[in-house]
Amino acid sequence: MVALFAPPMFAHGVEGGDAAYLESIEGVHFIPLLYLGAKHMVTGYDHLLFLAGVIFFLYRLKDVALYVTLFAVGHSVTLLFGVLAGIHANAYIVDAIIGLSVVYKALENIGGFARLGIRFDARAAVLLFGFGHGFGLSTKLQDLSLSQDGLLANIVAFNLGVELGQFAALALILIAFNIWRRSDRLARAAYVVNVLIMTAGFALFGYQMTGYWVS
Amino acid sequence: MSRTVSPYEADPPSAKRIATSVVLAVVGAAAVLVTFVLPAEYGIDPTGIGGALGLTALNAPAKTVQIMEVSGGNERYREVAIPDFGQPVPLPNPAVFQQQGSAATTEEVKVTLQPGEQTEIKALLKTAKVMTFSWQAEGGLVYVDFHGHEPAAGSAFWVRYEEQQSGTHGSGSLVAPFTGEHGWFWMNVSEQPVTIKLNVTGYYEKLVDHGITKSSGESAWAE
Repeated sequence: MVALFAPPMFAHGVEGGDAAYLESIEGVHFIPLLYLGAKHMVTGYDHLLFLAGVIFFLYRLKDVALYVTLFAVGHSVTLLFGVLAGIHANAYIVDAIIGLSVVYKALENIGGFARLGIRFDARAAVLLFGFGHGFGLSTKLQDLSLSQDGLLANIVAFNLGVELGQFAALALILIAFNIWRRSDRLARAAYVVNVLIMTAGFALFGYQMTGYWVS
Repeated sequence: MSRTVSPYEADPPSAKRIATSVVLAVVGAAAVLVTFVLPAEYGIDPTGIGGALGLTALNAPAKTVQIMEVSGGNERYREVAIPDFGQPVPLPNPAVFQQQGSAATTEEVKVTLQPGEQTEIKALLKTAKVMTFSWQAEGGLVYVDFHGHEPAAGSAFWVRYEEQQSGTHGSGSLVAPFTGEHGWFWMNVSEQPVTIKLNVTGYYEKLVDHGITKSSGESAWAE
């Protein structure tokens, strides 16, 4: 009955022991699911890379809060909807799209779309990509046979945990950004850092697409 | 609220610079993937660098060993993958180990058969239980039929483990294929009295001695 769900190192699925726990429980287990959601977000570097790209040039806390809320709403909707409605998307494809979301944000940050004369509504884009990130999460959970008993409360707990984890990770990212922004080197390094983020996005994309083709 | 803009959106770099950056990002990603990630995660190593770095070992196909199915089952062998990190190989039939509450029973039985006399001594064994035995016949030769049957099935069927037309000894082990009586029919086929000494060790319920009867000439044995 132990889930032999062994996700490769780079895709953050639900790891073995946690997967075994999720498959074995019946009924509501609020705090453990809360914790697992937070853990998933804090270790979810593809989500965090996208978030870092989103808040890279956001200086006011009000703007940070808005964009992060849009992202949170997006992934909450698809996480809940995906698991409860049983929407089965291919996990590799969804994760590849998440990789592309990182590329998109980094490219926008260096003015790539502006140069092409394309203007996106950044808020709508974050919401839309939020939907994608949420599907990434729901497909991982669907791979596990979760007990129907208490499923709704457990998924809500998990989602709340995701938000708490996101909040914690975001705080750390913001602190790092603010320290960095005070130094003069930011202006020159900002471009390069975004290109590095874009590289990471491409790597994620390539990795997930390879997984799709191999499986 | 106003949308905070990246300084590069207000004043974007040249198309050439952006294109170069994107190409660098793609090439950099491909390099990392091909040299490190794909060899480690999928065993895909087009450049051979991953193998040289030892990364492909992370994804090597599992070694297997063939483990014989020694008791029960229809398969003779099962091929099982050897797990990593000193973990034991899973047994096809874990019942090869049977935990018992106490040591096995050991008994010795002696019976003397006059010429032409026969006897049956059986051990009651539950399915898959184990016993070892050794018997010697002194003074002559005996016919032996080491066999088993289910009393519940009556004379519907029986299985034979070993038959000797005329012998003086036998030893071995048995894993009971079903719950029932498993034991020996001996007949003295010589002109002198023969004493049979039987030693049994195992996890049987008890020994049943069916007593001595005169042979009717047939090798039919009493139930």
